[in-house]
Amino acid sequence: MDAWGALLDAYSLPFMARALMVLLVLSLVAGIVGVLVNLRGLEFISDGLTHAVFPGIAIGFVWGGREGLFAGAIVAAVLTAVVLAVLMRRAVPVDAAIAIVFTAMFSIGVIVVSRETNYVGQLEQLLFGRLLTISVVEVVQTVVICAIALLLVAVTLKEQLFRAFDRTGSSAVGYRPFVLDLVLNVAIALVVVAASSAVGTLLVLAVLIVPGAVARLVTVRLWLLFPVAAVFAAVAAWLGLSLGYLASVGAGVNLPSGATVVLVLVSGYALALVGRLLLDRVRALRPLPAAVR
Amino acid sequence: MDYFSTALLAAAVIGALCGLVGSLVVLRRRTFFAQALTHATFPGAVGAAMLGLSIPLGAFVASIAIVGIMTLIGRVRRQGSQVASGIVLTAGFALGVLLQALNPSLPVHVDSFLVGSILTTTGSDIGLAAGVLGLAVLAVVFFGKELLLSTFDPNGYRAAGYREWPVELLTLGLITATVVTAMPAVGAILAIALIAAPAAAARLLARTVGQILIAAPVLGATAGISGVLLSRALDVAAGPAIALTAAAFFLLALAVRQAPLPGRQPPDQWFPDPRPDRPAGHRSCRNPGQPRVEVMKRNTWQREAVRTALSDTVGFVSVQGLHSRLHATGSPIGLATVYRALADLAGEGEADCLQSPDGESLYRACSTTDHHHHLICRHCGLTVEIEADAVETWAKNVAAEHGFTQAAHVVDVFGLCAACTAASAATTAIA
Repeated sequence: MDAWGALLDAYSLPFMARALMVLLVLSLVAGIVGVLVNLRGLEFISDGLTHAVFPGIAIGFVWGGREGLFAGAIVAAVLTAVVLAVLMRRAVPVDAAIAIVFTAMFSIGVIVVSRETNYVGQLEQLLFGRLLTISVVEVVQTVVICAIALLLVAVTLKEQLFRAFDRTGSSAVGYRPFVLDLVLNVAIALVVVAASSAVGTLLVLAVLIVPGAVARLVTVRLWLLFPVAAVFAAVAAWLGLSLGYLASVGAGVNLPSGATVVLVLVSGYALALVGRLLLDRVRALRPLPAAVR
Repeated sequence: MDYFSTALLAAAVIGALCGLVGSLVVLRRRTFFAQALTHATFPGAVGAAMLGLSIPLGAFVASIAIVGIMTLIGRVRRQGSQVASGIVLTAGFALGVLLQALNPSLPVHVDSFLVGSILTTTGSDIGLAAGVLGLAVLAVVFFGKELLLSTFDPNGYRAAGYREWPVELLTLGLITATVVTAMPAVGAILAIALIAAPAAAARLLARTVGQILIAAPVLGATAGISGVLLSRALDVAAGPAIALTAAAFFLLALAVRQAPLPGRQPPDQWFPDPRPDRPAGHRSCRNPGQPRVEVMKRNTWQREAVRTALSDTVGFVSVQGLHSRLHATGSPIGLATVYRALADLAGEGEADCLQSPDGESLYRACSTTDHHHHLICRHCGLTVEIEADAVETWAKNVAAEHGFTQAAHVVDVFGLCAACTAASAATTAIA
C-alpha cells in the first residue's frame, strides 16, 4: 500500500467515501460558520455547545433509541444556544456563564447515561464519533442539518460581519444584536448536532475553530477568508483520513480517525503560524521598495 | 478514615481551592483559558503514565508547555487569546486520545479524566491540594493588593509603575496548579464547574472583593461536600452531583440578585464590572445615583499626607504625579497607599475623580463636600468649582415630570480656559 493508494484508491471503499463526504460538508461549514466564530470570538461558546449537547443525546437515546439521538440533541443544543444568548446580555461575565451552563448540562448527561446505559461506551462515542461506521442515513441527516445552518448564516452574513467589526455601528443602524447572536448561536448548535453523532464533538470543535484561525493567518482580505478556510479544512480532512487509512492498512497501527484529522488540522495551523511569523520578520527587515519611499 | 470521609475531605479542600483561585479566574476572565488547560493536560497525563511517572507531574509539565504556546499564539496579530485557547484545547485533547489509543493498556481513561473519581482519592492527593490551597492563600494575603489593582485597573496598574508579567505569571501558576490538583478527583470538565460557579455566585452577591475571596472558597467547599452527600443519597456519580450543586448555587445567587430586598442598593451598583468597555475621554468616576457608602474613616498619617498634598495641588493630578510630589518632600509613602487613599477620598466626596483620555484616573481636592459642578480646562487642567442653580432646578423638574425621586446628577463642563484660549489663538495667528 503506497501513499497514492491511500490518498485516492482508499475512497473507492464505501465507508471511506462516506467519511470523506461528511468531512467535505463540514469543511464548507468551517469556511462560513467557522470564519464567523473566529471573527466574533465565539470559540468558547462553540466549546460549551459541544458539551451541552450531551444530555440531549443521552436522554434522546434512553427515550427513543438511535432515532431519539438527533431529536434530543437538537432540543438540547437549541435550548443552550438560546440560554447563552440571553445570558450574554446579563451582567455576569460571559465566560463564567458559559462554563456554568455547559458543565451543568454535561453533568446531567453523565448522570442520565450512568444510570441508564453503558456509560463509558456512550461517552467515548460522543467525544470521538464513529467516523468510519457512518450510515447513509446519517450522512443525509448531517448534510441536511448543516445546510439549514449554512442557510441561516448565509441569509444574515452581511449583518453578522457588520456586527463582528463594528458592534456599536451595527446596533446604531438598527440591527438587533440579540437576534443576530441568536441566529449565529443556533447555527453553531445545529452544526454541532449534525456532526457530533457522526464525527464526535472533538472533531466538530476543531473544524469550527482551526480553519478560521488559519485563514486569518493567511490573508487579510475579508472575502478570501471564507474560501481559504473551506479549502484548508477539506485538504486537511482528506490528508487526515488517508493517513489513518495508511497507518491501519499499511502499518497495522490503529489510529483513531477523528483524532488523526484533528491533529492534521492543528499541524496545518502550526505551519501557517510559523510561516506568518517568519514572513512578518522578513518584511520587517526588508527596506521598503523605492517607489513607496 | 474510610473512603467516604476521605472523599468528603477531598471535596472540601478541592472545593475551597477551586473557589479561591476561581475568584481570580472569573474576575480576570480566564475561564476559557482554564478550560483549555484542563483538556490540554490530557496528553501530559497519558505521557506520564506511559513513562511510569506521577500523573499530576506529567500534567503539570504539559501545562507549562501549553501556557507557553498559548502566550505565543495570543501575541500574534489577528489571533488572540480565544483562538489560542481553542487551538490548544482541541490539539491537546486529540493528542491525548491518540497516545491513549496507541497504548490501550494504560490506566488513564477518557471518562475518568473527564468526570474524575473522588471516591478513589488518596491522602497524598488531598495533601497536594491542601498544599496548593496554602500557597494560594499566601499569594492572596501577600500580593492581594497587586493582584486586585492589576485586575480592576490595568491602566492604573501600569501607570503606577508596576510590571504586569509577575502578576500574570502568579495567576497563571495558581490556575495551572489548581487545575492539575483538582482534575484527578473531579475531572477536567467538573473542575471548570467548581472554578467558575462558586466564584461567579460570590461575585453576584458580594459587595467587595474581599467578600468574594472569602465567600467563593466557602461556597466551593460547601458545593463539594453537599455534592458528595447528594451523590450517596441519590446514588448518582459524585462528580456530576458536585457540578450541579455548584451550578445551583449560581442560579440561587442570580435569583437573589434579581429580586433586591428593601434597603439594598439596586443590583447594578453592588459591584462594578472589573473591565467595562470604557469610552475614551473624560468621565466622572463617581456614580451619580450611588449613595455614599459609609466606610469607617481610617485617618492614618498616610491618608492625611495624601489629603494635604492633594489640597496643595492646583487642578487635577494623577496618582503617580501625586506620589512623586510626596516623595519629593521626603515622604516614604507607598504608591499603592496613595492610590487607595485617593480612591477613598473620592468615594467620600472629598476629592473629584476623572478618567483621562488614556484611562488614567486623575484626582483633585474639593473645597467643599457639598454638591457642586466643575468647569475644567481641557488643555491645562485648570478647574473652577461652579454653582449651577439653573441645572438644579431643571434636573429636579425633569425628574419629577417623569415620576423619578431621589434624582442625582454629575455635571462637568469641559472647555479651554481663558489663558489657553489666548495661547491657542496666538499660535493660530502665527501659523
